[in-house]
Amino acid sequence: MASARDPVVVGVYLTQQARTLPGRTSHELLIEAVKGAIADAGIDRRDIDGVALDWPGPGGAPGDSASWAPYFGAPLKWVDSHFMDTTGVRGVLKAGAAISAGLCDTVVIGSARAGPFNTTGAAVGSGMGLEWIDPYGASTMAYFALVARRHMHQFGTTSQQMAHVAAVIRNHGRTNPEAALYGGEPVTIEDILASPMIADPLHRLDCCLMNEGGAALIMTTAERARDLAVKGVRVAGGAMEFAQGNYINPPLYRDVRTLGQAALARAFGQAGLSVADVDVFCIYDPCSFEVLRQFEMLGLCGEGEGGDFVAGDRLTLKGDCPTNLDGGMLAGSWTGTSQLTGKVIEGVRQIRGGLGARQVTDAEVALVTNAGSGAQHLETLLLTGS
Amino acid sequence: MADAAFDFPVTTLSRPYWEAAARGRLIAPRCNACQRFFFAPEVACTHCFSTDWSWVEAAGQGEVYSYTTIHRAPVPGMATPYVLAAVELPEGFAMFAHLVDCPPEALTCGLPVEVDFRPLHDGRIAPVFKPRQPSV
Repeated sequence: MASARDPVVVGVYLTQQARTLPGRTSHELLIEAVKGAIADAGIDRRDIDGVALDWPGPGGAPGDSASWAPYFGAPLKWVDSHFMDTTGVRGVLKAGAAISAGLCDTVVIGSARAGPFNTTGAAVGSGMGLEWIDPYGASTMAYFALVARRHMHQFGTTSQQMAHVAAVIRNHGRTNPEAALYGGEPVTIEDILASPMIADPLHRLDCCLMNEGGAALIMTTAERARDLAVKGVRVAGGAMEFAQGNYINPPLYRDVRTLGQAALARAFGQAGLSVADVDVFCIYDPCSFEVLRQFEMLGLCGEGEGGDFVAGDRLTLKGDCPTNLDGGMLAGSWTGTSQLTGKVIEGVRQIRGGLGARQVTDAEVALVTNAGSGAQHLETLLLTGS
Repeated sequence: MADAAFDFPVTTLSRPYWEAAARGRLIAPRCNACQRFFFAPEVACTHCFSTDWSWVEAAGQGEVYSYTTIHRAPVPGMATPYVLAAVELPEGFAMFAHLVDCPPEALTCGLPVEVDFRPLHDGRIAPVFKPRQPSV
């Protein structure tokens, strides 16, 4: 079934991730990420013939990926410029499709952010106001809070169960030197519950970070990957699911419930794998609640049972579902878009091996998800070593 | 498209909605082809894709499907805390709205609510919901 044109991830790079990166710009940070991913892959920059990179500017049309052409093998054979396509699972799936179809051979994907976030309430990256959201102060966390609250109402999920997820993932970040919140004292459930409420039932420490940083990755054909020194990580399966456009209407739990399940079935079907084969979970964690919902989505527990399922050490390296061992977005990084790529990068690194203290032994299959119930869409990827 | 009649962003699609709210009425799009309500206003009915629809007044009685008390507003100028709800209306649509005049201990999913109209932080009059008084 494997074809010479199957897409393989061959290069990854994360810049420093920190609350602020004084003196850095989004553009220059992204250049660092791109150069880093090229070096990691061991390719020449002129090998790149497809680009899905943000173009922060200044100069040129904002977001226009074609602006990168002079730096690579101009003229480029393929670009994708949408801010949700230059990152993460969506970026990998679209670039992978372009590679498989023969439109191009080697693609770089990436985005970065440095400098102040705007606080107009607009959707991240949209650069525009949102008529049905802004007047009500419906923050992104409010979206997830509305889903979490209904889940609590229907199934008795508790703030403690959510706080446990947050504590586990934050403690993973505490031991990852690349995480924005590296170091410090162990985080407890009590710490989470004592932190200020943001959008009830989500406390500040139930919510992901907002910080600066960037990420990039390189994909090429299985045939070309074989010639590189680096261990290629295969995109064995992937799929997307969209319930409705985000930032218009409230997410209703009955609509988003196990959102992503249909996409997962397609992805596992492509890969010839089942959830029991997954060694590493890179779960999108905009908030603690969404992690337990995604285990329900994965079918590893029943609907409404996510709170019990994630208890104890299950999500740690000692458990059977090691999750977000890099600290995820709760303690690792959330920059607006590059955390979507960050999820893929952690999966790639776990499959490559050699991560030291957080390495899952003999990891062969990594599951990556982006977005979730509050966002009303979910994208997923299955990465394998061979 | 901004509209000179309002000092907040309004589109040609949404203008009647905010005008009605300013007059104390909750209106929503109802499709003339399939007779179903949908929300927010879109060029085409989200049920049947027909572009033939009209604004129709809703009764303004609903239920809280879910809610969140927001302590950290995403925009400057909003007083906190405020309660943001997903309100379901029997006409067959759900909408964001602020929940007002509701003591925290009374907040619950399924709470019967009725529409009222209050100014938001940007000055516009918007539909909000408050607990429905039990009819005697």
